[in-house]
Amino acid sequence: MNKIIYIILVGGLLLGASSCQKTFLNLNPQDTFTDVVYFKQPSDFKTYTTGFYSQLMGWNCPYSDGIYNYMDLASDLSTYFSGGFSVDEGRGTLTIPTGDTHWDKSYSWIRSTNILLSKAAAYTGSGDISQYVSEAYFFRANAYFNLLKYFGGVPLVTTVLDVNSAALTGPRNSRYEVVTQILSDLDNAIAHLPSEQSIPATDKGRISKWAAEAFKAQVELYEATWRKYNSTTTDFTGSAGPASNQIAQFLTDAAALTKDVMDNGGYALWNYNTTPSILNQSYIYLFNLEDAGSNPAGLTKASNNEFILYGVYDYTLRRGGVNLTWTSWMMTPSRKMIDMFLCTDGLPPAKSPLFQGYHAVGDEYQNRDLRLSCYVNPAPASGSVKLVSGGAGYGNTKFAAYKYGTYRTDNTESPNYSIIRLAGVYLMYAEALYELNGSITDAQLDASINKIRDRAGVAHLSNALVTANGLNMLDEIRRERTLELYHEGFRYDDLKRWGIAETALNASACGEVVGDASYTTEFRDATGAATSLYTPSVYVWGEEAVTTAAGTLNCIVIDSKANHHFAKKDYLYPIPQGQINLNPNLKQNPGF
Amino acid sequence: MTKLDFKIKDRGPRLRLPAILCWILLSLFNNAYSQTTPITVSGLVKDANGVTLTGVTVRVKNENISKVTGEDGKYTINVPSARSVLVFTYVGFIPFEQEVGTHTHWDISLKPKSGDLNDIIVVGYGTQKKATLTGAVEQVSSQVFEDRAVTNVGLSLQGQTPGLLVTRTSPRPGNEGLAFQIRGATSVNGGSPLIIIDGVPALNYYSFQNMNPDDIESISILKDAAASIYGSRAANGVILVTSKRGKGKVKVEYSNNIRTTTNGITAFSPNMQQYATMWIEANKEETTPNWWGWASLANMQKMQQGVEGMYQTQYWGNIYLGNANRITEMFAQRYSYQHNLSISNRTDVSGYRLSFGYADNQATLATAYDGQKQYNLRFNYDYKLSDRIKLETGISMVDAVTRSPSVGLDAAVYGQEMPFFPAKNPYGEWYADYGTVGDRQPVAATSDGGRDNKSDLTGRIDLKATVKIVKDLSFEGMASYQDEQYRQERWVNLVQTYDWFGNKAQQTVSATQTTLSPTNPSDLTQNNPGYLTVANEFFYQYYSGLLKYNKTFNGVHNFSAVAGINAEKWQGKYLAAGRLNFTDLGVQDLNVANTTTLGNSGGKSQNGTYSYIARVNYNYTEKYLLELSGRRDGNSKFDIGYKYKNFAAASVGWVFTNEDFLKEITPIVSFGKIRASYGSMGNDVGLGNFDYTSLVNLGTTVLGSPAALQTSSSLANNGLISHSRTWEKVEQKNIGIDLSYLKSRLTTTFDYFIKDNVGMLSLVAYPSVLGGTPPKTNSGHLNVKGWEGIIGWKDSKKDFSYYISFKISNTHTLLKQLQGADNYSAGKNYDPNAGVYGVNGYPLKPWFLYKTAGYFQSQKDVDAYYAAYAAGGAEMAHVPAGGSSALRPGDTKRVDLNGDGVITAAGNASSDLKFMGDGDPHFTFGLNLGGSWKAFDLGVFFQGVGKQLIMRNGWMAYPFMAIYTNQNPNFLGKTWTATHTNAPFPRLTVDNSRSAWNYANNDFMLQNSRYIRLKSLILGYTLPQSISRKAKLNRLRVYFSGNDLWESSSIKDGYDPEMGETSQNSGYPFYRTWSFGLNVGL
Repeated sequence: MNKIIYIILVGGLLLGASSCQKTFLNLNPQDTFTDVVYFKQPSDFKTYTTGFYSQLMGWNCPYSDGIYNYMDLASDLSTYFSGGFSVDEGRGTLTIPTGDTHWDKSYSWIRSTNILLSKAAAYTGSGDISQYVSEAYFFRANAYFNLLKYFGGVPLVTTVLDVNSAALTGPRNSRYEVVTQILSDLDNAIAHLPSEQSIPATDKGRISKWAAEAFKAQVELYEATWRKYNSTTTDFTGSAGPASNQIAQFLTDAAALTKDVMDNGGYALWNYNTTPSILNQSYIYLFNLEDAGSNPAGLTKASNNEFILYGVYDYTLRRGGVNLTWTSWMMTPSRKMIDMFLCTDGLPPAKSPLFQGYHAVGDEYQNRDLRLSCYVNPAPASGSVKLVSGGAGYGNTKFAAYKYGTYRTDNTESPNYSIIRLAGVYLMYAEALYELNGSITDAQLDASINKIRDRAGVAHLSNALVTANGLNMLDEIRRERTLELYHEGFRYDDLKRWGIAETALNASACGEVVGDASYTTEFRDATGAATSLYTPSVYVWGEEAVTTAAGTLNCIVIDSKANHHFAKKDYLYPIPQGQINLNPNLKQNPGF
Repeated sequence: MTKLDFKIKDRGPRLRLPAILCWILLSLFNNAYSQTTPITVSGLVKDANGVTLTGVTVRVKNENISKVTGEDGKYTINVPSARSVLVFTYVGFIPFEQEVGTHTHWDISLKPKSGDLNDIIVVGYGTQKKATLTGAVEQVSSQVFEDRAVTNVGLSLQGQTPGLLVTRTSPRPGNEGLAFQIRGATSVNGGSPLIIIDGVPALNYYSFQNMNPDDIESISILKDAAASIYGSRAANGVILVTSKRGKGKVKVEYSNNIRTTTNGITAFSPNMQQYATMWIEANKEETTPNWWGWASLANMQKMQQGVEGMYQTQYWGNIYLGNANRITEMFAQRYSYQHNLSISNRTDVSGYRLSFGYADNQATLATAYDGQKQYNLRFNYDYKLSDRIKLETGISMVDAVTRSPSVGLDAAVYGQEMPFFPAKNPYGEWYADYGTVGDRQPVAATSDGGRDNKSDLTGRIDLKATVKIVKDLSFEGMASYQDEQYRQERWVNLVQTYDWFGNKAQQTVSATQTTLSPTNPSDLTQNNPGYLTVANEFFYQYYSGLLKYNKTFNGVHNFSAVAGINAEKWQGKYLAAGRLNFTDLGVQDLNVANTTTLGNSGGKSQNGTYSYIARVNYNYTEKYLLELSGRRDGNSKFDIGYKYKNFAAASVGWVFTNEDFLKEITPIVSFGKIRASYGSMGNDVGLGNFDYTSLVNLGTTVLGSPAALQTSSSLANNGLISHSRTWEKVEQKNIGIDLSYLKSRLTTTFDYFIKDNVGMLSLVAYPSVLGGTPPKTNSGHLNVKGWEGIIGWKDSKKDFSYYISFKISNTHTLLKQLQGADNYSAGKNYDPNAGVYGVNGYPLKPWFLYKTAGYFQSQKDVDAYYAAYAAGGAEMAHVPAGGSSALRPGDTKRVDLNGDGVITAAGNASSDLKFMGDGDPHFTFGLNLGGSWKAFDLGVFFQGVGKQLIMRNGWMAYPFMAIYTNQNPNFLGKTWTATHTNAPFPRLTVDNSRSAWNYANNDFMLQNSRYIRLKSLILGYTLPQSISRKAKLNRLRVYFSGNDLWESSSIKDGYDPEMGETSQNSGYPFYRTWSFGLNVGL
């Protein structure tokens, strides 16, 4: 009898145990949501799109290399080759890599936006999610624009793929199809994004309608000029051509969009040139603007109504995390850049009677664009510039923190990072109009570029000035863009879309004018001998006679043209070989 | 030899020589006995050490007569006749069985069980007799842990059993970096053996390593298909620990051990003179000498002579340099203690053992406490409710408290620390490195830089009921609850240093990054000044129900079976909080840290398993053996419909010495068995708890004016999930032979095995347009082959007994398939953090190095080399002709192996790299020697590795890897000079490009880390009982025990062979331990 009881008991235990296996096997995550329960309310969509903001370019570069690769450091404007940043791009020595962070990261971001768009399509809630859907469109456009700039046409993916998707091995779309997709996404974004004026203070930094419009203008101006000056020369073999000539349409649209931002965006240039403590120094303190300690005037980020699309940084919450000031000091400009700064009369130094020459090191700083002293350095005292260690002889202060070492130390600088600011919109407006019409009115110049020249302390650009002095209006518009947006990551793209990269980048990057017996400087005396301020032997590339504002003069060479081999093929990056290996349908860019 | 003492004189005065002769004859020809009259036999039962044993069963074989020895160890029993056989049995001892013969007074000495073929071996879900075991199972007894001068159970196991590799990277208690591996690697994804304590998986490695060694009865290592019964977690082998339970009369035992340390190998550390000599030698024929901050040859020559005083430097002004040996400044003799107390007892109905352990193990750091305190409590109790029902409980607690400096024990100790910055200036203030600018100073940092305190408390309760349902069939129900409370408090203070004159230095010690993520306070484990506190809790439940069946049919068919279910659930909860900036004002707590920047994080997770288990054992007269086992494992980590997977194993054995036709060999080969097994088992590493579902990760993003944190989210893996991925499936084949010769005095065991991980989790590369990296899939393949051997000899003569046993094993891995693992680069192609695991077609950790052809002997030689190889650039681009790094006579000549005129390291076919072996340890061995003579006992244990190819990495990998590193004096006099052209190493240079060319990844830098180390030496003396009795003690033994007392190694650059390859964090010397201890039995 006992035995039977035991058997029943044990059997019952075992049966009971097997029925409770769900207790052990069907478990759910306890400290995180799954996407099954997520995306049910607008706040979920908002939170998810908030995650997109790390895709924006910023001091914390979203790619796995550093931000300095995106500051045009080895372009024709720079003599910072020793830092190694973007040197291959500047010299035209790119080789086919196994992998490329731009390719990989962009598609990762595209997937994240596609996820949101697919979740939005399945959304049945009642709250409005249109702003967040718009942000997703914006960020998808942003990722494709990055891909376009690096690689030209790329495969278009607008759905959430899985490992079996046929699209994984699809061919490249043409650049024209990619642009169409970008513009379509931006139209979708613009339609439902809020205006800057209606974004609450707690959400500042989110994409506004104006930011999306300015961005769309940038894409259109970029693409219109690329097609105008490069035609289809950079298209890969087998690429489809443009469906129609959209150049005029893009330029018209870009001018209209920038005009809308200028008229309705409510933005203003940050101009504190008349504030006594920072007299004429707006161009120093706009780019290192943090809290009240970041400038002698006690201005804070709240005073900045110029940035339209930007990354928000904060000393406590989100530091730049790069050694910005220290590195900025070394990002010295080139001879070409220095000579581009106008004299206060609005004329290039070569043509201006105000230009003082190069005999003493401080001379060339006289009567010049305020940006020369703000971006580079104030006029140096004689004898203070020494060419004994290989440097170019110029400083660089753009982005450097105020009171470095006390107010800010290494890696703690945290100004907001500008991606598009009003000055850039003015420049796009002027350029688009000129490219569209072959001319620009004085009124249009006054509504745009001349506002910048007011801040820079330079006389207005006008058709009369151009005509009277044998200038070229397009060159002057481009000059203004080059000077204003120096080190903000536009230079390589501009040179390429203007089709002049080979010319610009294959010249030597020079530093100070050292002159010779016939043109004495602090570095060469009347006998032509080097002075104590100059040790020629440290300059391995020696001197080169180049065109300066005072004629052809000997200058020290920091990076010789012998190192530069920029060719048409370098207008685009090569498609990473690893991706071609995984998908042989990807055709390599021409020339690689 | 004698198991029984003939106390001839006790036989009385009337016994005469003829009677003795007669007795001898009778005992030789025992057939002659014919006596059938009942006899009373009495005597004393003792153990090998002469301690009397209480509770020994004395039974007359085949009769229903038995007695138990009393408290004094004495027995008296009536036996039917002189032909009767008495059997003495006692737990843990070899039963003694012999005919009574002429004995009336018969003192017996029982021998403890050890490695005998009749041993009962603990296996998965039960026990088996060693003689009929068909799997590769090795059991080590409690002796391994006795009297060792280490507390850590894992360290004690090092070298004790072949196939189990125990490695450590540091001597610091609580921070040893212990790793266990059974039979080599199983997967590139890692994995370690499953630890089972008293039948239940241990919640964590802590509760095993920090077990009280005195509580361990035995440890079994399941290496092959024998482990398959553990299914998805069996692939890395299983370690089964059985704790001691009560036995015999009430017994109180106390033991202690007091230890001290001396530094072991410290030859890697230079003094000021050696450092300067390295520089002078390196600069001798440098075209442009470079003295770095040390400014001049004159300075270096002063340093070479050991002149202490002010030096004018290039960057740091006038600074004081003096002899400062960090090894002597930072490491000194320290004392450690261990105490164990246990009380045990067993009666017919119940038994218990209660034990306490306390240990304080301190490493050699002189500047601050660096060690671990350990508290152990265990109470094992069992009770027979009735003849059918038996209840067993086990309650244990392990608390390990590790306290160390929070900063200063990294590269700061040695790799970047020159030996001439004294710790303090004349004012008694911390002297700054480089006189004023350094932000490192290990003496200051470890003294005042903050503390890192961790405590890990694991409590456990086991309940087990065994119910005998019918004869031969029983049910065993078990539940176990384990709870771990982990706490960490870590703070970092900035330490102000001063120059020689008492002025504040420019920087403080410890880096001063001042970031703290609001959602990730563990940022503070960097050298950020601040306070971090962590509280994690883990809870584990285990339930099993097993039916066990044992029956012998017709006396020849022995059949046993186990079947049942077990279920587990694991839950973890995490909490961490940190505050940036903390000043130690005597109270250390989160509460008193700065509130400006805060961070906190939490989380919880869980997983569960549910499994069906079955095993059948059958043997025919213990001659033909068969075992079949299977497990159906379900796991919460997989989606519904994918949760279960099956594992199975089969093994067979043949005890050929039981065959009649081989009877002739038994006088020599007393026992012989051949075993073969095949099993499939799983490896559960690399699987997340919820890989089958798309998780939402929450983070923060900064937006707003003023800036503020906003919650942001993303999908884990960008939404890529996997339903089909499952455990790695490892198939293991094993063949083994066990032999014992000469009446079991000589025993040998040999095993050969092959492991194939055919479903190894491997990343599969998809085009990036996918937008994410999908989870790894079961697409890789790793093959491991290896063998193990044991040979042992033991014998005894009169008062003298001795033993020797040697254990050795070797494994060889072969990576057969891993996506993306086709290219290699210079060095060891193994860096799991970077996703580099090896190269297909080669062993794991393969070395690909440059073949060298000696050194350039002349400039002509150099010129010819440049002419031949410089044009192609590649590696030669780092040492261009005419440049400051250009090669010279005495520099290394790398060979252009593929003959393409370029020295390349990239790719594979196009490179000049050559496979030169793998980095795994090979021929790992242990050698046990020992014996006893009268009251003395000796145990000597050597452990070592026969071959392991290593190359030093980190700052000190080779001379002048950078100019700002410390320098290893072991290269002095061994480098090429014009007068020493056959030196083992190339010419020294201060140019780091040339130095890299000369040394880095060149074949001659690969060294064999072969070593043999005297792991333990134990010499004991047991007081004669006549003396200990007077002190009312059952037993009193004193002993000396040493650890790591001696070693011999083939390391060329002066490091400890157990340290591993890194030179970066190696300033902490391994030490030797000298201890004295006491065992007292009441």
